[in-house]
Amino acid sequence: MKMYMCWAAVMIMSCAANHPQGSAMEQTLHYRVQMNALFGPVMSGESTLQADLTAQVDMRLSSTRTRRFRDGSIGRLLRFETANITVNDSPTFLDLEGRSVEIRTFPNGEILDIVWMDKVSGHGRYMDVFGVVFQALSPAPPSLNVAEQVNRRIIWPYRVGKQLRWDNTVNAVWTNQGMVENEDYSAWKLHYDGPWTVKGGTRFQTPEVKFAAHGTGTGTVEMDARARELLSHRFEWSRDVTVTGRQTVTQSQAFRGVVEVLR
Amino acid sequence: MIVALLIAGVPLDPVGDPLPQYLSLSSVRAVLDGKKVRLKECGVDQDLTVNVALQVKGNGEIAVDELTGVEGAQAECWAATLSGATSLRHDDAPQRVTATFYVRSQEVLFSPELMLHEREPSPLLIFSPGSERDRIYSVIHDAETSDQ
Repeated sequence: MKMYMCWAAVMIMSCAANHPQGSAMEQTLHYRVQMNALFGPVMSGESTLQADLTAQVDMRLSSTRTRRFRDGSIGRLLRFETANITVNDSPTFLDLEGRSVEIRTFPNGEILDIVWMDKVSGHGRYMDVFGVVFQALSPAPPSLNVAEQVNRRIIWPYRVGKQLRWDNTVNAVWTNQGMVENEDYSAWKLHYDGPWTVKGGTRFQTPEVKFAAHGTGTGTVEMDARARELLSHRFEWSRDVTVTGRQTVTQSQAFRGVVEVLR
Repeated sequence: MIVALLIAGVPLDPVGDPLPQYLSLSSVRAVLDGKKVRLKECGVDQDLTVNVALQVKGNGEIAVDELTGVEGAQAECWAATLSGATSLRHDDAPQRVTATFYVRSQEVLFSPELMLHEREPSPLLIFSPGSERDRIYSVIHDAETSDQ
């Protein structure tokens, strides 16, 4: 009998071990993302396929925890509550409002997967291009002492089923710049900087299309000192994109923006 | 011990907002497959090849956009049978589905070539909000674009 009781206790304890560490957000969080983007001309060899462009993006998103996976990772439904874009100072159609993706992260915020990217990608939706927003919402900074520096990669994938995948990687050096205190909150200010690479391609498709980019990612994150949750994130990322199918197309892209948690 | 097993078997954190549902080919196939018996009641005296284009709305309602290969009262019967409320609820814009039915030897058959018309998001990773998009797509995907 004692053996059975011990076994039962072990079973129950093993269930508890699957619970994520740190604070699991139960309530819906709301974010505002504002971003300016500069796009260089789209080139194919010597031919210019499209002139350079500027864009301003303003979106509000909500993040609601939906499920917990057996490896301890957490699924959140990221919903585009409002989304507007101007291109070369003209309001332009953006079909994102009401659409959702599920973002799966480790409890520290590291992104494992983003599902339904095809629903927010391509013409009129553009989150394949503005994917830096996902990293900006979930930057996963390390725990550091003041002035301490550490290397920690920022990663997030872009995936559409098994047919298409590319991976974003920033080999970031993180630095704790100290505490920021004001009337409303106390926050740790953490800065990161590092080279940004994108690599991937299609499968089961002719012609195979390869996606690649090289650039840099830099930003400053403020994390609530008590709750250890994101308060704001200022970022400045740039890359040179190469898409190779039958022929190669290139475009330089730069994103500068801020994410704020709305309270 | 039974209690312990029950506790261990409980799914982790089942509570949460419902996830969005998107239409799948298999669910559409199952619903259209179920229509065959009622389509047979529209008449099977004559061999037919019927092409249909349907709109599946978010509430599961099917609307018939196009129906070719059948005429007159029989066509009205086909349209009435195919349209209406179904279990195909989803959280997306209305989805276009094309399918082919055959009437052969007094039986209604359903072609396996069911098409769920998904939008083509390409060119990906290149920001192109204007009309240049088609040309960029063509350069990446089409074979004979070297002179563009």
